[in-house]
Amino acid sequence: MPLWICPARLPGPSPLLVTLLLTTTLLLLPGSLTADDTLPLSNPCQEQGRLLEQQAALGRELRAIKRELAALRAEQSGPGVDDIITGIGFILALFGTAALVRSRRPQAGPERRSGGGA
Amino acid sequence: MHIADGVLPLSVSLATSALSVAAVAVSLRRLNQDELPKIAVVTASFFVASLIHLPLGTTSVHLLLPGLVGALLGPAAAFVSITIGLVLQSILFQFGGLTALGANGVIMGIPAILCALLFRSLAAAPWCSITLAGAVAGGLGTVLAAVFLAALLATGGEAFWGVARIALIAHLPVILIEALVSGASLGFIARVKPEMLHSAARFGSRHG
Repeated sequence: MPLWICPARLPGPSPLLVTLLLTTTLLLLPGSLTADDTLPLSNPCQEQGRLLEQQAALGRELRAIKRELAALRAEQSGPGVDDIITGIGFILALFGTAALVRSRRPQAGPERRSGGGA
Repeated sequence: MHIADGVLPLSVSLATSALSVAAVAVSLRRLNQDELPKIAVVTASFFVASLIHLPLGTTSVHLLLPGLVGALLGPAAAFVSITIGLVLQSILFQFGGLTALGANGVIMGIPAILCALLFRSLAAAPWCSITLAGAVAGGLGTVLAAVFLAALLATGGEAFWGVARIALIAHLPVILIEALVSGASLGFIARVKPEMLHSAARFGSRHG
């Protein structure tokens, strides 16, 4: 508080007297150290409230987006139809190739020779 | 029932991989090449069956079908079929991992072979219907898979009985459903297309 510093710098009258004087002056001056003091602050408060409200709204939207993202991720993490069809196609192709290789092999050899292709 | 990457010690990963490669080689050598289309279809079914999830509390388990694969294909072709299915599952569905492929092949493939042998001898017995044999093989496949899983995890420092108990309890509904599915499908196949079971069952297979 500047009130406590100022008296120390002033030469002459005792600091206590100066303090008292200053305090009364300040109290008597309009718009200082009274209830009116809150008035200029009310605008920032409104501003702050508005910001908080905005923040809450943004938070809500963000939560919704996060939920959607999590649902999407859960949906994507499990195997989809593509994976299933890929796998079945791969298996059929593998055994189809094996059967093809086998069918091209001359039948004279023993059938039990090592499995073809797979 | 899959082991993920980095769970097993390196030595176990290497050993199971070597075992799987050897088993695939033997399987390729011994399978009946006339059955390639059948093997393809069964492999595709095995590959897709893992997507059928059963919700179980907070988690979920999926069908495994090693027993059905073994019963349908016989011991010779079962391992290669399971391995191809697992490779594609790990690549496309991110099930298990590529480094744990050997271990997963052992977990699923050896039960399939054992179930194939069991199904063959049960189906040859006069007192046992194909449906019953299929149900037993189907249920036992998953039980054995859980036991193999526990055994492999035990090498990584887990307690064998703890893991085995958890795996078995979690897969109890799967075991029941697989027994039902395997029994019903094999009984149905035995009725409408018994020649499809030739290599697997009593009808004079060419390979031991």
